[in-house]
Amino acid sequence: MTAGVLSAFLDRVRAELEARGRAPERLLAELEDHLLERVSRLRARGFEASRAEREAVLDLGPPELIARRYDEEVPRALSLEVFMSPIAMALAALTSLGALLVAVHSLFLDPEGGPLWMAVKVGQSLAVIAAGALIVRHRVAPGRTTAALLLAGAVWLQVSGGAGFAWTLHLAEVTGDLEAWGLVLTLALAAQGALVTGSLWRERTRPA
Amino acid sequence: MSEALKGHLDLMLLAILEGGPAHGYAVIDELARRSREAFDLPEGTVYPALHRLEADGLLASRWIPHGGRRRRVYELSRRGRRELARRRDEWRVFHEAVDLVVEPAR
Repeated sequence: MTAGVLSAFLDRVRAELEARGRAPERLLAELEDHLLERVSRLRARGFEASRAEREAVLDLGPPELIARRYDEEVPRALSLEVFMSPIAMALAALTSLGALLVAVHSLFLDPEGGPLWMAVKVGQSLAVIAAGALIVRHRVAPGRTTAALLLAGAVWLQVSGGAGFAWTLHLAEVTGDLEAWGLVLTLALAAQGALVTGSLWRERTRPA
Repeated sequence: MSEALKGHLDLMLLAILEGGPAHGYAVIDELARRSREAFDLPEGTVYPALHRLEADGLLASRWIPHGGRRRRVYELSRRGRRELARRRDEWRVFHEAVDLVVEPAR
């Protein structure tokens, strides 16, 4: 547990970083580790606790300077949190809408291929919509969907997107008619699954 | 001193991590030890530099457990080793050239 002086310092760094629109968790965890080690070493050299904490904080430098350097030096583009959420949401909306259209088309407009094939298409469409809903739910209310469920959904999206992509290309070879919407939808599925997997990985490696 | 240091900080951080994986505190400690505490550097500014070097692909990092908490440990990537060798050569050439100019009698 971080002592008063140290936690006040870390709160100021957090505020400075958040004011710049940066996600500070990893840096804060490293600064906390640094401060605790510094205090422990100073205490071993005979410093009284409160003086050791003040020295440790002074050595790190002003919170504003640390946050400014971080903001100037660390590229935003690599912070997935900054752009992944809108992209994942857009993909979830696109694939869910596409899946809904496929289901409506299979059921009402062109019910070809017998009941089994129709059930497969409608079932897959509903599963895509469910995965999209899971992802949106996770973005809107983090923590209410388990990581295992999200990962299962992400893997399924990638497998189903990859298989659908191969199937669309195969059909194009057989019929000579390439269905571009099929390619877009299946690629979007795979991308959506990859984004969620990447997001879960980032969350796994982020400090608690 | 601090502006001059900023330009060379990357090279020094890479050189320190050439010795093996280390966490931020150990890197800063080693920087102070090797330089005989010559640099007036706010220690907290080393972390953004480490993050940037990682974002550039020159370092890799991972969490390790330490005393009931997690600690971020950095190490040179393969690209980081190549970059260190290149920057070291560049530094030697620069250093010798400056010496020739400012101390011509030596």
